[in-house]
Amino acid sequence: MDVEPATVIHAYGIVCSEAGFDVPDAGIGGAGVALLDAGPVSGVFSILPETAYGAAAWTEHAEDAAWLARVATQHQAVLADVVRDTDVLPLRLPAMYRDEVHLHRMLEAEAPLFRAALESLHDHLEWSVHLYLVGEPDAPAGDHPTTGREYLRQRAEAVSQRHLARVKREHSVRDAYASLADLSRQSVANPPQDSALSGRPEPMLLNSAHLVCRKHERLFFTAVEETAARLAPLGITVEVTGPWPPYNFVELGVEHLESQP
Amino acid sequence: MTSNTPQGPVFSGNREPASQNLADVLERVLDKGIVVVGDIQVRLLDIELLTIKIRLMVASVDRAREMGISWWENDPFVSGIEDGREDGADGLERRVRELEQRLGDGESKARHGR
Repeated sequence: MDVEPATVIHAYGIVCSEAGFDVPDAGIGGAGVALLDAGPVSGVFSILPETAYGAAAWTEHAEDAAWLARVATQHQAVLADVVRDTDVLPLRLPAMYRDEVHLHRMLEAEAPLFRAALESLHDHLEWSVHLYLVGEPDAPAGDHPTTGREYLRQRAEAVSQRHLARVKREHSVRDAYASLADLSRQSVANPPQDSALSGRPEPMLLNSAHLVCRKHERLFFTAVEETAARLAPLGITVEVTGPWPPYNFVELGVEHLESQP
Repeated sequence: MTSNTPQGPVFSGNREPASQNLADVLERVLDKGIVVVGDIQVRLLDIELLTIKIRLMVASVDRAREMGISWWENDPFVSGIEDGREDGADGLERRVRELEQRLGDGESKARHGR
């Protein structure tokens, strides 16, 4: 007979066991954060009350955007602390274990894969690049139309101008992505985010993530600044967030490893 | 800051509680990162389905299409990886099938494990 435990283990991520870093003070819900050593790799985890963060709680809050946002933000805050000092493989939520024994068993079973992924991603961080269309370039003001024909001609011209502007914008966005990808070990363009979540009313033209070596960060930022300067006349603004743990690249890391003989 | 003048790149630390980062956090924490089948995860199909909803919410594909920016969908160079992060009805159905299959696998594994 299983006795329903009063606590669950929440795992944040996986690090090399010999990595030196300060374990963050507080995790989800203010719980303490600890390390579970499983040989070559260790898990970063918290012990959380089952009633508040167990499977039932997840199911109950499945549609509760505020709850999810809080848990996701607190999970990410722990990883943001860790990734400042060392490499970490971020876990997708919900990452929940019955107890330390179960987490230890999982870490031990997957240790060679995790270890190889950590080594393959060593010294690389993820940066997020967002391009927003903040304003259309001003259309040249034509003379006030004096005839219907003139009005239609001007209107057709405006439509074609807008089309040209869109094509030009699209090329510029591709070029921007390509030039940043050149300085990244790996890059991915994700679908744009909805303004309801991003909190930004402007259309997002690019939502990319870049895996950048710590050594190449300065080069990457210089390229971002150059890109921003090129895009500004087109009404496009550039935003960078990070550093993130390599969320977008851990699957690639694992695939890469699996393809090795 | 709602200036209409494009400026240089804005660097935001990801610890900032600014709302502009919530989409970044959700899209990563609920839709990316390592998936390890935890011992409790098998019971959490609801959550996996939910993350699909969030992904659809995060990615406002229809709106982007209206604007004519859908190039990431079929441009392997730009999308970088071949699975293309498809969305919309087809992608959703495919993902649901995968999840059902995975749930089936998890259950059979759990049975074998007894």
